[in-house]
Amino acid sequence: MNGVMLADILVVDDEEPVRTSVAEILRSAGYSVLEAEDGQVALDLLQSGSVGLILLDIRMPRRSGIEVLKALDAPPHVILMSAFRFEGEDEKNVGHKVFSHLVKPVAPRRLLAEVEVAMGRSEGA
Amino acid sequence: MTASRRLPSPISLAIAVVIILVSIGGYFFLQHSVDQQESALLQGQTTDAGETASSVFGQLTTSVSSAATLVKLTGGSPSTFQTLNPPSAKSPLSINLIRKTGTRYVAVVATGEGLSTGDALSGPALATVKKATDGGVTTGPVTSNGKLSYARFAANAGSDLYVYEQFAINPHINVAAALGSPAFSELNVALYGPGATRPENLLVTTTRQLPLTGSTAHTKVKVGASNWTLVATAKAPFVSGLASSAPLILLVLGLLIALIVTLTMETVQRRHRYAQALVQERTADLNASLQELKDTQDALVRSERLTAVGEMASVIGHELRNPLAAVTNSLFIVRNDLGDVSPTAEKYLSLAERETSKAAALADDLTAFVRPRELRKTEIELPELVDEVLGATPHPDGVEVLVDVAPVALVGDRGQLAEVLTNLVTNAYQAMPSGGTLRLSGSSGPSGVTVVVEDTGDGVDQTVMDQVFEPFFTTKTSGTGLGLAIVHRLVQAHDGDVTLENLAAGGVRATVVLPAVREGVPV
Repeated sequence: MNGVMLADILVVDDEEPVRTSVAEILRSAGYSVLEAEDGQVALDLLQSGSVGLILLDIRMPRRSGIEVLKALDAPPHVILMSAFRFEGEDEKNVGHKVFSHLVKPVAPRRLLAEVEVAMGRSEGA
Repeated sequence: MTASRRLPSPISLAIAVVIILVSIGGYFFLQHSVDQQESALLQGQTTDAGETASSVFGQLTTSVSSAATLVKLTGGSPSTFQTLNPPSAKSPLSINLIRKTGTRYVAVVATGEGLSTGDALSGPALATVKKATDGGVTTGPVTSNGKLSYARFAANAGSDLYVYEQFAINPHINVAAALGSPAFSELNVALYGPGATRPENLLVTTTRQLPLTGSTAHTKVKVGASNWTLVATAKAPFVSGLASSAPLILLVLGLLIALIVTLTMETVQRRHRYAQALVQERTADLNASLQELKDTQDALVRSERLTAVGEMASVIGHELRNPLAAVTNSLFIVRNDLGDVSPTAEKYLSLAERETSKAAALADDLTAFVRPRELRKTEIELPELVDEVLGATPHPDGVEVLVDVAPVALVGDRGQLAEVLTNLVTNAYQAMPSGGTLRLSGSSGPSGVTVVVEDTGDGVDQTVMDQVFEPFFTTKTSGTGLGLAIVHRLVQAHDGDVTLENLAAGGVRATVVLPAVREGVPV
């Protein structure tokens, strides 16, 4: 990862309807958004620059969200957003790299609020 | 098994009675046989004794016969008779020459005691002589006065002459010694003259115990032309030793065998009864074990079925989450994009949002049921938790809420316990569509912290009461039937217990008991 800022937020989710709709909501809220359809694509993207926040699904083909977290030494803020709970061994191993965990479906307002806090941006900015 | 005193069984009693009867029968049979043998031996001995007596007293008749012959040969000379039979006052045997003169019989020569020359015969002596004929010796009556007994004999000695012999003897003479016969040594005997066996008719006896009693034998003793009678008893039984004891031995043995057989049969039957009781007991135990096994198997099958159902629910719940997320997001985007919309569009947009929320809640329930998330225990103030739950679950119109929660603290997963209370409160509200009263109380006791939620609804059909905690079981027209199943799972995860019961006055009481937490223990 180098210092080039690729976008505000990277949305990583193999479920295309979820990924695109989340990206759309975030863009509507004024964020620049990159999308990745699995963990490997996300890691490849992060090779070329950094982002302010990663919205990361857990269960994905090729590389899972947990593997992405393990691969990143100093990741930006990460909000896990998955259909499964983040607990047990995974939480023990990579929990310190996670800002928060949301279980799908997440109400868009809640998502925006969580993202806003994570990005450290004040309301209305 | 309890030992009980019982009467012997009918079969062993019957067998004992049969053995006793056979023993008694055998006793009498053997005794009779012994008696017969004894009697035969006695009779034999008695006959021998009779023959001896006959031989001894037969000699007396011979002397009379010889004297009569001599009188005939000497022409009835009294001097010759006297010479041949010298008088002796002491001799027990007196031989006399008698002459018949007219109707009188007069002693021509008297040689012994009791009769003098010239005496006319009378009494038994006269009777004896009058019977005498030329043919042989006549035996006259035997008489006894207790101290002396008399035997009488007579014979005709030609024309008017007769020889009359009188024999006097102490009746208690030692006969055996006197006669030298072994036959008398084993017997008590009494020898009677002709006619009945009466004391005045007794000649000799070996015993003073007369008349002889018990087992007696009689035999005729031929003396001259008369029959005397010998009566005898055995001094000691002829049949002795083992043979005489055999009947008694048989009887005693029989009774012993009856006793042993009865006791043995009783023992065997008691053991049999014990074995039967044991078998029954073991069978009952076995049946109980089988029932237990069956119950366990049923529970296992039920548990496995629930697990399978739960697994499927969990999968469905997870699979719903991504489409729901897409739909939720899409609705949000559409609403923002459209800005102000027509009332109809607003109505159905809201409807889509509401129903999507319900579907999301269902997905939560489905996934929460099988794998409750790990407990994150913190110390919780019960009043605060109750306020939070009641605040987040507004009561419907017409429902009064009465809260009585003591200031107790407990340790648990706040989120999960809030879910438990929310489910119970929601159920209570739904049970009172026409209004009512919800009572929520909390207290601390020895068994732990108890939270009770009561409603005044219609209650639960008692026949399905044991199914209410099963997943997907519901009596309501709406809802997944997972609420109480989740409550059950979560309370169990806290090592607690939840029960549901109908109230007598109507309505349902749900009681949650969570383990006590020691005060002051840091979480």
